[in-house]
Amino acid sequence: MHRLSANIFYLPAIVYLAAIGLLPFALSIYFSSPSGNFSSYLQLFRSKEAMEVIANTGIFAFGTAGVATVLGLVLAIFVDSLKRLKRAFSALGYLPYMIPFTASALVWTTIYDPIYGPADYFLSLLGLSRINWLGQPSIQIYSATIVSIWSSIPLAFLLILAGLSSVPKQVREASAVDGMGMGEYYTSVALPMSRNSILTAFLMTLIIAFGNFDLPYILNGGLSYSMATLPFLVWFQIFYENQVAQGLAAAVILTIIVSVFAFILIRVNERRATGSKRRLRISFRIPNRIFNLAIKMVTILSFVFMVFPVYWMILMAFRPQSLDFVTPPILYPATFDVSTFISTAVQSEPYVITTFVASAITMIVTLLLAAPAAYSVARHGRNWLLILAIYLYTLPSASFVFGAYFIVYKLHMLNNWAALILTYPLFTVPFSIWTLSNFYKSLPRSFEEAALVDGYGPFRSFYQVVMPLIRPGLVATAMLSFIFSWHLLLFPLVLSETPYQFNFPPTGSFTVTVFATLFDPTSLGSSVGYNVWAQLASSGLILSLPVILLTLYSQEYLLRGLYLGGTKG
Amino acid sequence: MSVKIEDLSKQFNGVHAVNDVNLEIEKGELFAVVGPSGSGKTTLLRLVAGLEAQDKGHIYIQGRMVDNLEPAQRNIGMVFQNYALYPNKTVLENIASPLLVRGARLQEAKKDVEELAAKLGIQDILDRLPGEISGGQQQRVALARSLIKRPLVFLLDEPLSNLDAQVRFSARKFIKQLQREFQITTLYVTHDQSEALAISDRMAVMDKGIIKQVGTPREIYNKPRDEFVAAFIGSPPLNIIDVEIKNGIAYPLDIPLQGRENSVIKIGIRPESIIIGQGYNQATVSELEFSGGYSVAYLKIADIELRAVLSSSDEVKVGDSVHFAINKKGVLFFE
Repeated sequence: MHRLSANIFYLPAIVYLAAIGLLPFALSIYFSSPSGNFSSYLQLFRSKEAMEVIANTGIFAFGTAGVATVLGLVLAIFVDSLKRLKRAFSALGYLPYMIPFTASALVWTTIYDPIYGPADYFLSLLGLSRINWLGQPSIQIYSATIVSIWSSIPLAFLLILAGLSSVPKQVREASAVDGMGMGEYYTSVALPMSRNSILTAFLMTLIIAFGNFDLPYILNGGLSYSMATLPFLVWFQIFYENQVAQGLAAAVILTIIVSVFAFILIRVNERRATGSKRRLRISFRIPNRIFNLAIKMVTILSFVFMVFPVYWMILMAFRPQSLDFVTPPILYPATFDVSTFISTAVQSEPYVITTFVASAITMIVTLLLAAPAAYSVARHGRNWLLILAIYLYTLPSASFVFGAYFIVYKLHMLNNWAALILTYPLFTVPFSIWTLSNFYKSLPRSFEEAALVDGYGPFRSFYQVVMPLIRPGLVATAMLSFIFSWHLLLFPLVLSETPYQFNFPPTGSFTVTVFATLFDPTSLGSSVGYNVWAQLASSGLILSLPVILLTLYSQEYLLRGLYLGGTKG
Repeated sequence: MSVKIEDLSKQFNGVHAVNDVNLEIEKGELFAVVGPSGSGKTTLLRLVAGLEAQDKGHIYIQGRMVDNLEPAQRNIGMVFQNYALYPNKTVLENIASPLLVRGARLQEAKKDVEELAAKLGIQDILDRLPGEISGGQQQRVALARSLIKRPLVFLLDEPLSNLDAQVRFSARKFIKQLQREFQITTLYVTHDQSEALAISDRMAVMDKGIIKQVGTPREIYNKPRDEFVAAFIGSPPLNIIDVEIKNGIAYPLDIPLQGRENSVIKIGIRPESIIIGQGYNQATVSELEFSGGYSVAYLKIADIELRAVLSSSDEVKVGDSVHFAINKKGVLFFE
């Protein structure tokens, strides 16, 4: 009926995604082997270091997804089984979610410190010998994986909790009437019914870990291959070693690996949408007492694990530096000193302005592009657009980084706010299409039909009837877009050279994530050394604060958005 | 003729939702379409509204073919099952919405809305939001929204199904009165046969996309064309039993019956045509259901069980042996 107008809904989004997503992607593939002989790939496969990096990527990604999903599952069962205080414990469960990867990694470098770090101190309390977490090649990748697990548990927890909460109340009551204990209820009823959520949690954490540049980049001070994963190698080869073809070959290989899991995720998502009738049969039976005890033990340990780094960050940010470098480490608040935090905040001003402008404009552009496009998915049957969106969303930033750099360079936009504003929606538009399309689908069609009968045209019906009705979805998407943009590291790192110069037209586009990396004690060429933990923690806190405030302010919206899309900012 | 439907067909994934339907609805008539779920009645309504496009056939509204017209151009008013009131707009804005869309100002539309709202008894809630009013009021707002533009045809999709049982009675009467007052041709879709019998001037019974029978409620009830219609219409439901004709009697019942001797045929008996305490049929009461004004008794005779309506003055108990007669008007024969 409205063929033309239906196309207009998604046209802007698809033009944008083609120009800034598919084109860079194609450029990456082309420049990975410009002569067409695939020599860069052969070189990569012959290199022992590259093979080590690929193996590391596997350990990092599967270690993260496996452990984070199991721990997230346990936490979700714990919170789901609570009668009271559900919200408070949920908040503990997603605490690390509010700390961007960059800030997490920074804080963990101090936790892992071989002399003054609390990690070794805890080991010594348990009577274990000290470990050089970030220095010893054989364990470096596992140290990085622990940090990655720490930041991935919340996403797994939230997705699985949403699945468990969606078990109808009557089913739960029936199981209670039947005399099922907690162990039986979860193993034989709730988990089988939430199978798709658990699978989604695993796949999402896996895909994010495969593409994670930020954590290995910051933790990997010595630029050693034993801690590198593929996204890091991509950056290192292209932007550090100037080996463009080899770096892009690594990017293409990474893309292929992620595509496999993206494909599975898309299938699972379709099943989640249609509601699979197939149920997983779990045949093991755990006695209720052991089940309860195990859940509680793991929950307590996980909460300690999840809360401590945040506590440690706040502790360090607000105390004089002299208290940081003592053995054993001081783990309680002894004094309260805001001077470092304030001086760091002042120092961060140009970075914060840049990030705020880029994130806010990205948020608006994202809504303008994604809201109508998602409507096309939900109401005009443009399912291919959803598949494309999910696929683009799962691809790591390393898949696009060279192409995006190339385009920005050609447009003479390097080190300019425009570079960030042009490229950031590449990350936010896809997940917004995904999330919003689910919001639209949950809206009864009769509203639009009533509008049609009343005489609204397709566009008027969209912005006067539909948009107001999905306001919660728009708010959630806007918030997530903002948070997501606020977190980005690889793109601003590559596309910028200096902080904002307070000039007009504005030049300089280092973001607050880049600012925080300046205090990375492990980073190459960092002269700051040991005396800046308070600054490091302060910059981490500055980086995290807007996200924490936004999350607390709009918890309900965000959780709903997360469940419907399944994203990690 | 106000609405004419000609050879109308619509398939969904190879299933005929509406299969070659022909209907004529007179001007000012309240026409009900009734059928079990999945019978295609709602699809038929949506085709008339223009919310679905037919595969085949034509629809005329007051002589004008509307096949290629948008819903808004068909000059129809529609009330949705869940009312589909815009939750972010006030009652006033909801009712005025069809006028505002056509370029009217809210101030101009307000007078019309207030006048109509007074007729529907909702003039006091015009500045509230739909979430703040009762289900019955929401329905009146939905009715007002579809009447404000003076449509040629009024389309109602299960308008009572979202209401409590007690409100349903008054709402039904209200719709009937409103329809008569506005003299508006109405197509009313429902799954509830008693609702259709009570409210309509004429009705159609649908099953599996096909119109089984069209007629006044009395005609449909008294002369159902086939077993499906007979079984679907009436409450408590019709008794359908096999009897054998022996010496002009429908064995095991004592009903005179002309037909081929010794053949087994299927007949229907309305529960309310069984009169207890008279006649030569004998049965045992196997179950009793009390319903206030009347009771339903289950009568066991040979291997047949019959539902019978008793007046509350009939004093029978489970296990009693009773006589009963059957009013010939309540006996239906099927080919």
